Amino acid sequence: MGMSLDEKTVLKVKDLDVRFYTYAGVVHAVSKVSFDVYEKEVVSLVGETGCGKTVTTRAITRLIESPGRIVGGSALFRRRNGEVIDLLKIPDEELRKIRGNEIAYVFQDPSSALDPLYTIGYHIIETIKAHRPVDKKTMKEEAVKLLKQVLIPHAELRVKNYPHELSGGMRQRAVIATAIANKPRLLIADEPTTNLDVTVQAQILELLKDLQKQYGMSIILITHNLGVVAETSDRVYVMYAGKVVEHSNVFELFERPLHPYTQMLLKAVPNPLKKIERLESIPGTVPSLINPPPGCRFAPRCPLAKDVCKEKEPPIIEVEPGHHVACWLYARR
Amino acid sequence: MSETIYNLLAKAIDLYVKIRVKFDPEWDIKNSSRIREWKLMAYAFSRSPIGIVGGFLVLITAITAIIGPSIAWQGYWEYKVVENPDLWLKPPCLPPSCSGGPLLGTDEWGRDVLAMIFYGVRISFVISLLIVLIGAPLGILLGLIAGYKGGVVDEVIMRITDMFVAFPGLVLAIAFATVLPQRIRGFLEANTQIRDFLLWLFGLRPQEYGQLAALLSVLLALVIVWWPIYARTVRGTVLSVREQVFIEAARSIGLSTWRILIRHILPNVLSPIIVMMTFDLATAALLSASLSFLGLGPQDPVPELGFMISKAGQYFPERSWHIVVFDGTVLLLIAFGWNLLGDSLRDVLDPRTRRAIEVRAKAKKKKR
Amino acid sequence: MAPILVVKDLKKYFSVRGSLFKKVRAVDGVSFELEHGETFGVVGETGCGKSTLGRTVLRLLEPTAGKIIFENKDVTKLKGAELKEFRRKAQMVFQDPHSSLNPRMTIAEILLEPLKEHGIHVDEPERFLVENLEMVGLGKEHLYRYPHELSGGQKQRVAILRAILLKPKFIVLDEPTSALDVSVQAQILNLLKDLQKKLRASYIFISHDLAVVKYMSKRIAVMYLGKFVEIADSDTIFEKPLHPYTQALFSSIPIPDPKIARSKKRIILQGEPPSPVNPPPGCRFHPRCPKAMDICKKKEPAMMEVEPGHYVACWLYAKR
Repeated sequence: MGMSLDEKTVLKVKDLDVRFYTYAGVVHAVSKVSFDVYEKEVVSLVGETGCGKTVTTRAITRLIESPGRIVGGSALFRRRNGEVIDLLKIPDEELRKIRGNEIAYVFQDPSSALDPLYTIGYHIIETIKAHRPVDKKTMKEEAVKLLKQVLIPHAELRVKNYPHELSGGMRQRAVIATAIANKPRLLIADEPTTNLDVTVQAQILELLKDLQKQYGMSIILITHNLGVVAETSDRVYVMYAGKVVEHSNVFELFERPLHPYTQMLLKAVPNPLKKIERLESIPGTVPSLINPPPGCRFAPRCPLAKDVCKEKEPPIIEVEPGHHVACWLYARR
Repeated sequence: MSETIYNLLAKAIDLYVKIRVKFDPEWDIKNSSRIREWKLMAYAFSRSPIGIVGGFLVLITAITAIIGPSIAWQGYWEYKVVENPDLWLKPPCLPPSCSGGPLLGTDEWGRDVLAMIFYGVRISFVISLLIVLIGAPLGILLGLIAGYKGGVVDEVIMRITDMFVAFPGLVLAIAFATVLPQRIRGFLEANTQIRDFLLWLFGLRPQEYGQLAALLSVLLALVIVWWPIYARTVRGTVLSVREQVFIEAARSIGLSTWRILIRHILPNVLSPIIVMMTFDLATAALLSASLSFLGLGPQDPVPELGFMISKAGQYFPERSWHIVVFDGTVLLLIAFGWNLLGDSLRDVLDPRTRRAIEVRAKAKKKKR
Repeated sequence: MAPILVVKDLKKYFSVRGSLFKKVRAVDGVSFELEHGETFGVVGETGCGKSTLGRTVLRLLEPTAGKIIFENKDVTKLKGAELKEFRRKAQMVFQDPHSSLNPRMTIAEILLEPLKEHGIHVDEPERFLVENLEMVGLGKEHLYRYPHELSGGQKQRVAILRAILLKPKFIVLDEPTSALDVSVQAQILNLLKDLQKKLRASYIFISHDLAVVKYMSKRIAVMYLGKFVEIADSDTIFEKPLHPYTQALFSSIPIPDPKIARSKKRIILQGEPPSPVNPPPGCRFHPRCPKAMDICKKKEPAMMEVEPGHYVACWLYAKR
């Protein structure tokens, strides 16, 4: 059956393919993307707009709506009870039991993630009720406890607040509280701090790291901010135009980036601790994903592109232990 | 069908471009994007069945309105029944069962109903156009100023608007119809040029200038009741457009308030207004006919559609059903045409739906 | 050489709806000088008033109090032709490229409009525009297009070009790259630097992205709740931040270097920024300040020059 998973692996996504069938054509948003998430680690998916990182994480729990369709691949997930299932193949009813329970999401905009007509306490209780039949009193106490855990002051009073009565940072904490209410195995945070101020961002990232240790959960963090990646992640996947181009542990990636895109991306980000004379920009723009060109998708912008890069797609190979790249500079034909 | 319509519209656009290029040789290059957008709108329009039907109806209405009075074979002032009593409320003579007689019958003055309709369409068409073309700009102007300036100016204009909204249109029309026609008649007597122009516009004889006065009083009453909705709608749209960054950018360049209103805010407010005006043309036609039906508009011999229906009430339904049915259907078709056109315009003018159609069109071209 | 712009005690208050007396003190007494050809960076978080400051300096918002002195004239008192002349010399580049261009005008019309408005006649408009477009990395094919046919980065280039066509003496840039991707951001920032050299113009660069501000600016001011708390040149302020808020702010920046990131000592601020309607008494930062003293709660510290060119408003450094 091929449904075996290493004991330390929580999620194994293999050859995920997501396409959007639009009037303009078929958009190959995610093409044969594979990645793993191990126990108790923080994995980052990094990339710019349109690289497919958000679509990938939504696809894992089949949150893709028409005109998008998951065309291929598997997402093996080890449940709390040890059972291994393919999230892309199990029936809807079972999947619903997992969402919000074993796999939880934190999205970018806390204001739209919370229904303005309900209190934040209600949001948390709703999540608990959906997955655990406990009595009302217990649920209310748990809601207050969760708000305390996400460091919202005066939690007993705040639990009755409506979203508009809270600031951006507090709202995001409330959203996180909702997400961890059922002690998920996997938390998927999609640009959770992009809309927040830098000091609040620091608070939220600290919080996520603390919660991760407390609950022993794994986190998939999606971001375009390389600083955030450096601060929080254990391993990093770099995505470009719907594909994974490089992945390794975080120290390796920043110290010895192998893929030309990763190298140029790192040079395009201003590091305040270094004296930079001139930022190096990446010429050109992201290609259209409708009928993508053959060969490596980065070839049109790559200063080191060779003929083979324009003809054949490079395979992902392990250049050093734990450090994988998809680039003809390192692969033997 | 869509193809021919699109081709026709595209040819019309090309013709317009040719004329502009004669005056300014680079015009077509400078506005290439604009021309492309027009053609896209034409394409979108040609693909919407309601647009085509509506456009067709409006076209027929317009043609009838323009040439109607000229091709009518009877003057509306000829009381044929005096010569030939047989012609009193003659029922319609429709082939193949009947031949030679008046196609749609006659009214109680012996006048051919179809010929009267030709005059009537002109009157309804003109009065609805006048109501909307006078009322809308007035409301748009006030809405622009109120929305952009804000503060006290906004409050004052909006309260005035509220006052006018509160006016009961019908009561106002009745009051006007009682008092105004005499005054207007005096005005028309003093200004014969205006009088003659307006008579020509409505397709009436000089003798009917008294009835013209009644028509104008209806017009005035409706214009007063009409502009507030435009002021309110435009103000609302202006409030949101005003917050857009390019308005602030225009201020930072140093543009005067007036220039910003005309060049930046108005074009971005126009699309919903055009749609609204199209729907209003239907409403105005029906409303003016209704007021005439109540006797507030022109009287005999002016063959206003609503008035004719009202007169036919006496003999309804046995003897005058044909007048009610045919005149009523004409009014229905006029209103229906504008409504369908407005519906289709709403989609055509919305840049989002247009882009979807553009993308689809490009995909189709690629397939070929 | 005298500074090109001197701002003295600038204030901008907004009235709160439904209340006669409550005011949002968006900018509450800001003073600084802008030298010729320099880039002055303003950093702060949401609600600190930096955007309002940028707009007020250009008189896109009417100042409540204070002076803005440009070319020896007080901008706050200019009217008519003189105000228009100021507008020609002081321009702005806005944050959102998608809404800063009129969607119903072609690029050519958008670019020609400021020239027409100021009566600047151009002999061969098309050639002139194409030359300028090429200067910012666009081409002839973009000239007659609508904004929605361009990408975000391209739109921002058009917005920048529109601002510089009048050859302004100084430009306020309000988060010009925040809405753009990292790779596009680098292109735009480099472009801005090149243009500054060509125009010999001064920039006021407003951003919440501290790394970007450091890359662009010669001097940086840190803003908190309507006031500057620290001003210094960019290297100094990063190496030796004096104000506790600046220290906390800079320690919060995620550094794209995992080794440093994890070894860094982070100052995590408690609480959230208070509302600018009711700023706390005394030093505005004291409720969140890890080093607050008694005097901080009672009296507001003035901006003092602690070292040459390095100004702080903090009781920790006041000489009693």
